[in-house]
Amino acid sequence: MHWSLAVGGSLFAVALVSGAGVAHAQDARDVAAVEGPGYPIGAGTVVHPILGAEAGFTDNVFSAYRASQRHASGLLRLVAEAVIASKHVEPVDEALTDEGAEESAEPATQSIQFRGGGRLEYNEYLSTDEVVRSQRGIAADLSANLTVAPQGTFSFVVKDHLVRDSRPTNFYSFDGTNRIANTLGLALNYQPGGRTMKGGLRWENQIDYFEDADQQFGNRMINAIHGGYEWQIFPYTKVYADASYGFIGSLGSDGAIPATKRGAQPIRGGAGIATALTELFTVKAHLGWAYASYSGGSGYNAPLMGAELGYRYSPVGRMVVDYSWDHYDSLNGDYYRDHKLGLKVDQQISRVVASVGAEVRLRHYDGISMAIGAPTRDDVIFAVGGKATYVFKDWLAAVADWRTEIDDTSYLSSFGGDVHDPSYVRTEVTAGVRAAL
Amino acid sequence: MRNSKHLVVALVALVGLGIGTLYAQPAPAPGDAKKPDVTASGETKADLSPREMATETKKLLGEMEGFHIRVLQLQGAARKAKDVIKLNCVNEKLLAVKQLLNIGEVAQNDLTEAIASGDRDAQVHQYSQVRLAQERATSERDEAEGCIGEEIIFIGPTQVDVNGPAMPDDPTADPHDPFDVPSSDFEQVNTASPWF
Repeated sequence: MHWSLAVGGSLFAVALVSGAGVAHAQDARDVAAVEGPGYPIGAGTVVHPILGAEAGFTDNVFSAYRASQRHASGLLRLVAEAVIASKHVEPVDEALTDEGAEESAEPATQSIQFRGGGRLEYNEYLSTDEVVRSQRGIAADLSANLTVAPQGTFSFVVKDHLVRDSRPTNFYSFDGTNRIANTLGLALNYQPGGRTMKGGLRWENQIDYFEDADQQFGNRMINAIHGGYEWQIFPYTKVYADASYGFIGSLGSDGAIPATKRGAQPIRGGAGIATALTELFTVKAHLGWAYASYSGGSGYNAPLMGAELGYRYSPVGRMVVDYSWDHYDSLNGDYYRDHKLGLKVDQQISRVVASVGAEVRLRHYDGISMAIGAPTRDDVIFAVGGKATYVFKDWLAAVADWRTEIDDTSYLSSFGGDVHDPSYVRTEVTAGVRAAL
Repeated sequence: MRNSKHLVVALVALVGLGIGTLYAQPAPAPGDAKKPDVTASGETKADLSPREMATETKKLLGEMEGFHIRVLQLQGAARKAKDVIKLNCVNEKLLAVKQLLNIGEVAQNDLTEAIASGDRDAQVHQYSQVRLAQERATSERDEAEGCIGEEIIFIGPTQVDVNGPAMPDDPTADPHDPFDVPSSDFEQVNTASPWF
């Protein structure tokens, strides 16, 4: 039953995304460096394509700990992005509106709003080692968002986010861990007059599917039903509450290794606030509770919380500090818990838009298969990186990206008589151009 | 003194008959050719003491300043309505009110001097100038009201729409929901297991 739901949901999602064409992931938090005028492809619909190329270097293709398995390589990345959106209706300037024509000059209320987009990447490893080169692949990050009656008392929202992740294994191998992850959401919202309050029901479906038959033991599906409510009590202050009941299960395995994912019915809920204390200082905070008990495995019954402080220290500079403590279902075990502390600074200097950030995660896994090793594992994950964009013109920019990850754990796993240390250090640096058409 | 009384009576009689007496005005400069022809001609009867004339003059000039402000408001209304015809009409009246205000202020100074020198004829003359300027200014103000019309001025109760500055970091616009069941972070499998 779960599988039929998954297939149905996925087919719908794929149909939705393919209808959108190539697009940029709106929810991927990756703001396009450039934007062109776009091409109208129908009444009220415009597509904005972006092409790019990057070259770079990584010192650890396989994210491996052992020196013998650490392989450096050059990188070549070709990028295609696009956004397709229903055209925004500009409000009419009241000063230029004839008194008699005032009513007819008002923009018509949109019955459907659509925005889809995404990013396709082709990654090539520039190495003399054929094992390294075999890790080449296409990655995708596509999303679509359709809202029916966005200004109505009742509105219906369909969201989909499809990711194809193309990553090497964490040991020297021809195999990769190519994986498709799709999240589909359907929501029915009630937003009475004034639109300051909104509540509704939402269903979310997430599927993780590994393309290699030998890795399909990790396939999973998560369904969750949410009841949510939010109230915009001031123009820049929102309070909200959410409660959900989920179903986590395995999708089975067609490979030699039987499915390992254990089921659970997590319950989560809480309340939060997002507000601007001043024009320069923003605060977000949430507090709640999360519970899950995995069948025959581990479980958690703990608070979840988080806070984010943002400060715009200059008209072209902003810093954000955030902390969160939460529990999530894991592909590597039953679940993982993160204490996450992050700092991010965005700064524009002349034509350069730069962003640097660092985060530390104290991660705890529980419910790891006994066939791998001990059921619990603790990691300290540190990541630091930066991005810079030099804007030549609105449609042309140079981009540079750097990220270093350090995963430090005392955990040792074993499989087939071999012992692995999953700790690793990996740095990747790329630079290139983006052009909007 | 007797001759002065006769002169005042004669002037009052002429005003009463609608016959204005032209007083010397500076010849229009070439640049003033487009300015409206504004003068404060004629005199009115003044059975007032010098002190009363000074007080009354001050009051009349205060009223004229009020007219000036009102016509400026009308000019703003016409400008907001982006109606060029109404704006030109009001501008013409505004120019007239300004010139009349200048005439009144000059006459007030001259009245002060006349009071100081004890010249009764000059006092009456300057006071008459102020009074006529105020009457003409009243007329110009009324005509300026007519330029605009009620549909712009009387637009009902004041409605204040406040448009705040753009909020670049609106915290309420973040689509991230911390209570989502699937993590918003994309968990990588290669950080944990050699199986993959």
